[in-house]
This record gives sequence, structure tokens and C-alpha cells, in this order.
Amino acid sequence: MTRRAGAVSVSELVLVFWVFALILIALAEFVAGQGRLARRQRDLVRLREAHRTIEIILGNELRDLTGGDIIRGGGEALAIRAPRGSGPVCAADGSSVSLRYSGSRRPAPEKDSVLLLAAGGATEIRAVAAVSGAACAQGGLTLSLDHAVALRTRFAVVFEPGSYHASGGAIRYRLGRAGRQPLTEAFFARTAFAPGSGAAGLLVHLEPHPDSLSHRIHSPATLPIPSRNPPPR
Amino acid sequence: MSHAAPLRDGFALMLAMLIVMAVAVLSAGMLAVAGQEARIAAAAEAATHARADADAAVRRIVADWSTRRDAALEIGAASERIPAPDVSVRIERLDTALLLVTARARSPFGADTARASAGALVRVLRPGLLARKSVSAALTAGSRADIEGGVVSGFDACAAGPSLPGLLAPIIAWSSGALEGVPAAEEAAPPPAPLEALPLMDIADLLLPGGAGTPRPLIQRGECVLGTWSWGSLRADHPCGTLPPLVLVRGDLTITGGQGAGILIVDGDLVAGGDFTFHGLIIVRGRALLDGATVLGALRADRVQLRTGTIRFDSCLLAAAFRAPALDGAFRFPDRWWVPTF
Repeated sequence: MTRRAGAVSVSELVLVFWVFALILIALAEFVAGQGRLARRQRDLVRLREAHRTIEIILGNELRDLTGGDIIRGGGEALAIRAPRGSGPVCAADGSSVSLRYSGSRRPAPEKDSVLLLAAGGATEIRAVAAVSGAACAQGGLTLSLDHAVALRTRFAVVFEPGSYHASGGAIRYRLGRAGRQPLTEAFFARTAFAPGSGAAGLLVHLEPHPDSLSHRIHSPATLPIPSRNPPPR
Repeated sequence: MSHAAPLRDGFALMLAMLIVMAVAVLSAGMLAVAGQEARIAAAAEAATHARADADAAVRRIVADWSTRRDAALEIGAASERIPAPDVSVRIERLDTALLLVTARARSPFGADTARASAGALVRVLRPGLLARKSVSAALTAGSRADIEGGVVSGFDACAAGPSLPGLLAPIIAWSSGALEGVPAAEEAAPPPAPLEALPLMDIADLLLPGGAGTPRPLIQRGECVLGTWSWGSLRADHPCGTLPPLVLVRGDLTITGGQGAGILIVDGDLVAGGDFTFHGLIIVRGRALLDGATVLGALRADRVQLRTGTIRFDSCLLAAAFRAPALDGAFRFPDRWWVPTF
């Protein structure tokens, strides 16, 4: 029996078929593995980003607060006086204070209050009724207060009433009576605030939801948020 | 005869190239993610460094504070210091006894720079005012004074100063001895001493457990050594007499002879006898029994029994006592030590 040039035998064809099948299976497994790895990496990045967001935002907010600035702490809500600016007072006449202001934004009369500190340690809180231009020698601004204050004010902190909420699978911020804006993705099954001890002023418990992330990174985390002033009373 | 090259139109090479490309794309993606994480980590590290540097600068300034050194700073004025590269500190006097310390730090990472600031309100003492408010008479008793002998004088032994009452106490039992002053004695409840409101445990130059002994100035290699029974000297030109200490004794104290100077606070009972001589202010939170001791300055206790000895008001020695290093430092602002700065 003679064989035509270029022709293949049945056994060669079967062998080639099996080799290709093996290659395709290995390739499919490789692609699936890479997909799992990519998903896990994406989930880790999302989780780390959520942790970082909480640590940075809450860390900056709570860093300089005292126990009196934390109106309600623990459980699902953390209501605070969130500082937005401060400055030494250069003049005060009872119903207004002029300060050399620096802050993350300009005081807003519709939502901000001001904490006034006297040299002896006494404090008063007033709502900001109006804001006007430069008053101090080195710039600054004048805050008109809703009620007169008798203190010899030396330093002032402008703050907005805000609250952080651990609800709906995410950590959210609520300014005054506005809606709760999410700061993180909503992939936590359980979130809670708890008072810390020592340098950790607050503990944030985060437990990822089983369906939202890869199964190997479901372990709950507790983030300590440091506070330098005396802890909440 | 010529042979044509065999036809090679299989797809193994194409398949291999596709696999290599897929691996390359996935690897590039992973590298991009890892690189981004590394940059975020570097930024976070730099931010932490900057924040720690700013905090440390404030703490260092407060720890090394000397009210005497910064006394020239007027209200509203500020001084700048650069305690370390990339860190600057501004000290501003907000009131006579209140200062704002603000530190700004930067920490470079890659082509960027992280910045942080920290601010603290600190209080300083006015020793003269503190001395005046803490001393109401040569001898002050919070509940009762029994004078059985000796001399109590409110006339200023340092001629420049005004005179005080010799004895101030709600209940005075006098049987013998001399009382002098303007007035010589006054039966009234004394005002609280602001000195006692200070965090004495934290600031005392010397913290002692109590006991019995004879204090004398101790010198080693020409320098004064403060110790359990070495509390300064009566002589201003003595190495132990230049800066009288603030001594806090946490218990009962029995002294027999010897000398000391500065501010002695006994958180218990005091028995002072022999020829013990003290220049400055003694505060006893329990009962003070003096039998032969001499105090030039003032003495304040809850209950006092004076058998023999002398207690004489001396404004100059009191002023020297209130120059104690412990009172030259900075104190935390009540409840609010760190303040937000932007």
C-alpha cells in the first residue's frame, strides 16, 4: 500500500487531536485561574481602598477632637463636631469675633457653628450668623454670632455638625440633616463603631459581605482611629 | 531536480503567540495594580511621616519650654523656630498665659510632597501672680490653728513688700507666743491656693515617698544634686541655692534639723523640729506640727500646731521659691490640648 505525499495516518490525527485538546484544557484552566487572581486582586484593592478611606477621613476628623466634641459615639452612628477651620482671635465685641482664619473651606452661616476658647479654659459655642471680610492685621475674617458671648475669646474653631453612620453595608457621612452620603462601597455585611482605649479613640469594625468579595478575604477587620485629646467621656 | 519547501501553515505558532500575549496583558495589569498600590503606600508613609514630625515638633517644643526664655514675646507676637529640616514651628502668644504652638512638616516622596500640621494650646504660669494668690498670710490654716508659743509675723522680712496677716484660720486657739501682721490674726476661711490646682505629680522637681530625716544640700563634683534629703540651700550663691526646687512628698514627713528652700508640698502630716530652717513656701495637706523650726516665707496647712519656732512672711524668698524649674514649664490647656490647624 502506498501513501500520498502530505497525507496523515489516522493514528497521527488522533495524536494531534489529543495534544490540541490538552493544550486547550490547560489554556482554559490558565485563563480561569488568571481571572480568579484578577478578581481577588480587584477585591483586595477595593477593600484596602475602603479601609484607607475610613482611616484617613475619620483619622483626620477625630485627631484633634475632645470628648465633648463627640456628641454620640458607638453602635451605628458617630455624631461629632467636625472641624473645618480655626484661628487665633484678634478682636471680639460680644456679638462677633474676628480671627486669623485658616481652614479647609470658608465658614458657612447656614450650617457652621464656632467654638470659642478663653484663656482660662472656658468655652462657648455659638452658631455663625454671618461672615464678613478681613478684620485682622494679617487678613482673616469676622464671624457674626447668633448670641452675644461674654468670654475673652482667644482662639476659635469653626465646625459643622456631622455624623458618620455604619449602615447599608457602607460607612456614610451625613452633614446636618442632609442625606447620608457613602464614603465607601457598600460591600460590608456588618459595620459598627466602638469607643477605643488608650491612643485609639475609636474602633471601626468592618465585616465584608460573603457575596461581595472573594471568599478568601472575608475576615473581619477592626480599624483603630487614633485621637490625641482625652478620650470620649 | 529541485524540491519545493514543505507547506507550513499550522497554527501552533499563532496559538503560542496568543498565549504569550494573554500572559503579557495579565502581567501588565498586575504590575499596574501593584505599582499603584506601591505609590499609594509611599504616599501614606510620607503622610504618616509628616504628621508624626509635626506632632513630635510640638511635643518637643512644649517639653523644652521655658517661660523665662520666652517672656519677651508680647501678646499677638510670634516667633518661628526650625527644629529639624522640613519642620517649622510657630509660637504665638494669644494671651498673657496662653500660647499657640503650630508645627508644619513636609515629607517628600517621589516627585510629590506630603504636608501635615499640628497645633496645641499651652498655658504658662505667671509665678508672681501665682505666689500672691497662693499666700494669704504668713501662716494659713484651712480648719484650725493652735498657737502655743513661737513667733508668727506677717510683716515682710524683705523690706520692699507689703505686709500680710500673721495668721489666717477659721478657728484660732492662742495660748502663748507672738502674733504680728496686718492684722496680726484673722479668723476666716482662707481662699484656695491655685498652686495646689496644678498637676503637681507631673511637674514636681522632686517626688518623695515621705519618711523621717534631716535635709541638707548635697554637692557632687561642684554641682547641686537634688535627692531624698537634699532640697536646696538657704544661700543664694550656693550651687543648690540658685534654683530652689518644688518638692512633693506623698506621705507623712518628719524633719529633725537641717535646711531646705523652694516649695515643699506634703501630701500628709508634717512634723518639723530641731533647728530646721526653710526658705520659701510649705504646704501641708494634713496637720503641721512645728517645734523649733523656722520658716521664712509662708506656711499653709489644713491644721497647724505651733509650739516653738518662727514663721515669718518674706516676699523675696517666696519670689525666689516660685522660680522653681517645675513652674517654668508649659501646661496643657484644660480638656483641649491639641487643636485643629489647617
